[in-house]
Amino acid sequence: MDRTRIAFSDAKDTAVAMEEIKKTLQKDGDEKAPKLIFFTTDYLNFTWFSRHLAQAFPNTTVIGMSSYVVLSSKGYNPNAVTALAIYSGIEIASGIILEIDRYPLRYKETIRNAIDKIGENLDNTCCFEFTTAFSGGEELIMDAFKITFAEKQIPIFGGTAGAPDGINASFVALNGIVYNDACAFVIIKNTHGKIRLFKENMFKPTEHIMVATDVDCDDRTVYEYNNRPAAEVVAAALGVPVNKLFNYTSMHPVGRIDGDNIYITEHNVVYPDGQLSYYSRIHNYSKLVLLEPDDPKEVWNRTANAVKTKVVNPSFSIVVNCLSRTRYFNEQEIMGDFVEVLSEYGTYIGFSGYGEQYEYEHLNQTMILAVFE
Amino acid sequence: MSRYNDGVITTNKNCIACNRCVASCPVVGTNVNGKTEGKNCIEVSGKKCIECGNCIRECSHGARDYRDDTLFFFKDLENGKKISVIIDPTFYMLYGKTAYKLIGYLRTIGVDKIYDVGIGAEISVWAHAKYLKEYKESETKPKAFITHICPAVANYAKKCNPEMLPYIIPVQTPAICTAIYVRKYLEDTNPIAYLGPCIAMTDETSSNETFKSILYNVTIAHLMDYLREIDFDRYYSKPDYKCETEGRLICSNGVFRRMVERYFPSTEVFTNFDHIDEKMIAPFCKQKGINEEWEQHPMLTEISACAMGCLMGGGIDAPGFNYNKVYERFAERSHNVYKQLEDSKDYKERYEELCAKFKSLNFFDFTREFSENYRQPYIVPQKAYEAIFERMHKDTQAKRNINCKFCGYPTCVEMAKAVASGYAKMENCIHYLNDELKSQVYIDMLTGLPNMARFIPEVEHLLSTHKDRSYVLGVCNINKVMVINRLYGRSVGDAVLVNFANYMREFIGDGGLCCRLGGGFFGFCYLNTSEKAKKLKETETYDYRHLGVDFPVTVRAGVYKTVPGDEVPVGKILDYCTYAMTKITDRSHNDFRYFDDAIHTEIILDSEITKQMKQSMADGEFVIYLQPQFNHASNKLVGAEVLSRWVKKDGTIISPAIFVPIFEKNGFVKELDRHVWKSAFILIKKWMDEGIPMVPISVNVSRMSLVDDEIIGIIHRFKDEYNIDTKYLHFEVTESAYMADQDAIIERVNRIRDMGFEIAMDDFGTGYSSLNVLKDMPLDILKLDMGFLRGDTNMDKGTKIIEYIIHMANTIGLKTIAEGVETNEQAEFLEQMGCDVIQGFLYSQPIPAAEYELLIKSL
Ligand code: SF4
Ligand code: SF4
Ligand code: SF4
Repeated sequence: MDRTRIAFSDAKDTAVAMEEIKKTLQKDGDEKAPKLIFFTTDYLNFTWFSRHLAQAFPNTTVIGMSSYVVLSSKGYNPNAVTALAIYSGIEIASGIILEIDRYPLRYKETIRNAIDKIGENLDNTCCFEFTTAFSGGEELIMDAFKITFAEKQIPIFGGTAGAPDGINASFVALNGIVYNDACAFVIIKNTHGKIRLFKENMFKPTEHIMVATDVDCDDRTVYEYNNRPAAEVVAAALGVPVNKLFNYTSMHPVGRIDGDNIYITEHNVVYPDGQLSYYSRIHNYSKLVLLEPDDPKEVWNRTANAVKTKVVNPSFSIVVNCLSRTRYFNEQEIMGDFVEVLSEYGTYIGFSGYGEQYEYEHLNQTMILAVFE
Repeated sequence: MSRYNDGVITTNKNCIACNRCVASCPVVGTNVNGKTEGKNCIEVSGKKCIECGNCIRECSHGARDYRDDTLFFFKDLENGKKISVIIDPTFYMLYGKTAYKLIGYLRTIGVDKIYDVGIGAEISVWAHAKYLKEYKESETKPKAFITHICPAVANYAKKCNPEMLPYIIPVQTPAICTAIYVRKYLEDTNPIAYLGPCIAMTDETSSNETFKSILYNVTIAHLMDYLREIDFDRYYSKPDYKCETEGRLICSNGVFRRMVERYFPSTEVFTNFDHIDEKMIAPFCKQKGINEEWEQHPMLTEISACAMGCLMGGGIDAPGFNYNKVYERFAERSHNVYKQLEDSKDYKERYEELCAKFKSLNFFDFTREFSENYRQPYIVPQKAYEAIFERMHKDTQAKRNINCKFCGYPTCVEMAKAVASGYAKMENCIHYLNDELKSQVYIDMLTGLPNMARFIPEVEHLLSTHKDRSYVLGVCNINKVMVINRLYGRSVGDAVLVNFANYMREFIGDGGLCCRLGGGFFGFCYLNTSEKAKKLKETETYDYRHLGVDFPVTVRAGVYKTVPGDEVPVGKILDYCTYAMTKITDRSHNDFRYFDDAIHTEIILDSEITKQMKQSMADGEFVIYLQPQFNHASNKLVGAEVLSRWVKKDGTIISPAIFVPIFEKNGFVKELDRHVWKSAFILIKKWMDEGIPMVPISVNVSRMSLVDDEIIGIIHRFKDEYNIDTKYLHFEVTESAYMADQDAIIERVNRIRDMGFEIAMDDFGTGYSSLNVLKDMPLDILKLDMGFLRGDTNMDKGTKIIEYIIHMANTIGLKTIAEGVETNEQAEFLEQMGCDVIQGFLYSQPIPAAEYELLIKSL
């Protein structure tokens, strides 16, 4: 019996698409419903699909987020729907966190209940969460999980939902209820093996290291690097005039340095008075390295090799690929190649949105990958 | 434009950043470091401020202002608007009888009706008591027990402690109760102004939760300031609705509690607090988890933000506050009020009476809801703390726990958190400033790089913590810094140093270190990687045209690669690098020389020689040799150059080619010069005394001997002491000796010449002198170096140059001597060109003085 199934449809008619999904995921002559369905679709059809999926699988936990581009081992398309159903080998508990822009910690009981449901043994357990975008609350959510998990420190993996360019809203859903300002999470225990998490940086460090010397952490804003206006410092490092900096920022994010790890933070707005705002928080006196694009194919190979060495028999995977990467791959016309590389990780579902969460950090312009044995 | 100061409380330019407001503020992150007119100050974040007024009371520099509606109030009155005023009991308590004069004046400028807030206080007491008696706790809503009489306390719960909100009794404050009563029950349709001591009322009045029943918050301080020119004595009036009961006392903390307490059995617990303190409030809010065992909270807890209650509100005219007078008034009024209230009724009867008194009022008119605008603070990751502590020089646990509160934060950890979040600056920590000052001793002021004293231990630490890695250590020197200073001025030279230092910082990157050793010398240390090596090689020159330096600037560096487990001390490595660097002579492009075995051997030799030279000199191991000079045409001895040889006791001879460069570096060459000169004087004197025929002999003067006037005194002394005929002694000065400080050198050489000695320029042709300058030099003889004629290539060119030089020298009346002549062919050629004195192996190698003496004796 299959442990997982993946369904994908890019049919224009949502009803037709839903039928295709149902047909793939409902097992003939086997009443056993999936335990968990991960799904994603575009912003416009998200509400419709989440309701219909929940109706079609009333005994299943159905969780998902809207994506910029829908990815799966069966195909990719900005306007499609895909769902990964897991039938066995997992134990799950899910929940919704509200007030994400200011007080997600208020929902610590929800998180605690979910952990309690999984039980004492939290080996091979991971928390997957999907968060709506534009609230600026990802770090608060990570903090809420961190505080609540306390010494249990279950690995965390997740994404900020996506939407087409120009739309400043996004969705997550749990069991048919759609939220535009919430975090939906599911804690999964893999009873068939390990869950391995990977992170892929498409950027490499330049020689330019900067220290944030004046920040408003709450507003994710940096006023000064190295005691000079932030935009001036970045522009000088890139050798471009400050008034043109905006054209270069997306290809030169900054990396928060933590030992050997680099967590990418994407520039948001370049303000005329020299401040720079970001898509994730930056603390005062943290060291940041200016990044530049690496060779994507080489990077993909490195990840593929790491996965091969660490996971002997992958069962299925979950991918969160930043929307900026997706955009860049599209521009470079290498999105097809990227999707091909992903297929090496077995059956997978891919989400694409405004940010990624990994090891309790909120990052940008990164791909994260969870591979289940 | 200021980033903060966007709320009710603001900082003005009087602020001196003393941090007292930080310490007194109950909300972390509200008092934030900013800049006013270029100087540091502490500003207020409107998003976080709860308007408790603590900082206004605390600031002794008059640096805190607040915004209220006093100006609008007077403007609207001027425009003929009819306004009713509700007056807080504080006003009467502060001004006594004068209060009525002020009221009289207000009436004359258009204030319509005037009511005492004491009326609303009684309504608020009734509403609180009613809530406490009648509200049934539910699953989702606990029973509240904290009074709502102070808007700042409610602000605190909304912004900082949302767990507290369900415990605040959801009824309106006395002031709002008054306004609602006046509007709804007394049907006063005028806009209402509240005259009182409360700063937090400004936001409260504009909130939908108070139904905007008050339009103007007029604080007592601003009112009195606005009216300071007015002579109130001419006016008098009483309020339209005056409170003569307990409500007129609620401006003091504890009175409200006492008022409610009367309606409950004496076994119930009633408490009151007159400031906001998270630790104090937390136990009441079970969700906070601080006191989960506390099953039962008091029946009622009164909390006001201001110590003593509203009597010390942030909006009172503090300088005019007379505590004794105010207390007197309060004591007198409470005495009267409580005398009236003395009865033998029990609490139930009293409550019945209270309800009867307010039976016409709808309880729900005086209730409210509380919105919440709390934002969960970020967790500051441990690595952020570490980064900040490191910057603050807090490198030990003790330094991280000084907790002196100078910065305004209760602990160093809290301070680090505030710095990480961008609220505070490290400069607010006195200990940081001290340590920073100390560390400045280790910083090069011009470039901001560490100096050597700091660099060496830091490199030692780096190497010892990464023993398994290979690092590159080096010393480099910017070529021609002196030239840059001379040509473009010192400021440009400094700018080059600063730019180069910045370049070094970037080049070295995060995992390495660099320092300025002094002048144009820098030290560096970085992880040995192929990228760095490539980059080092790739950079040919530095372009500082933007600083006004027209030529490409270059650097020479001596470099040492450590091997894992290297034990050579860093100081020694730097010496090695400096030594290796001095081996680079080409300055047209960046160049570096690795320290290798050959250099190592050289250094060992160098140090051996340096170690032995003084003793050897004392032991007479430096002996005199003379190299004869001959006239090629006549084959006659015409002179000799005095040289020295180091003959060790065991008979080994060390060549001057080895020891002279070392002596030049360590300065011992001056000693050697003196020894040779003295020996020459002694020889000439001896030959003179013995009547031995003589030809002139010449001695060398090193560049170092010419750096000061000492040489003049020494030669003078020898001349006086040995009394020789000066024509027998020539002094040879090398061409390169004239290069530095030319004028002073010429002056000194002239003085030697003035003593009667002839001067020869030695090694002409090895330096950069133009022939033109020769005519300005104090010279008699030009000694040509035969380097021009050595080797196979460019012989033609060489002969041309020699021909030209000899011709030039003869034209300006200089004698010429060719040295280093090895072949007859060369001698023939020189003779043809007009130079007939030859020194070199062709005729004789240097010979001991005794042998030379035999030679001259045969003359
Ligand atoms: S108390 Fe605050 S506002 Fe007043 S001077 Fe000190 S730092 Fe400035
Ligand atoms: S009014 Fe109160 S909350 Fe606001 S800054 Fe001053 S002390 Fe802090
Ligand atoms: S040592 Fe510095 S950081 Fe620590 S409490 Fe004192 S002033 Fe604040």
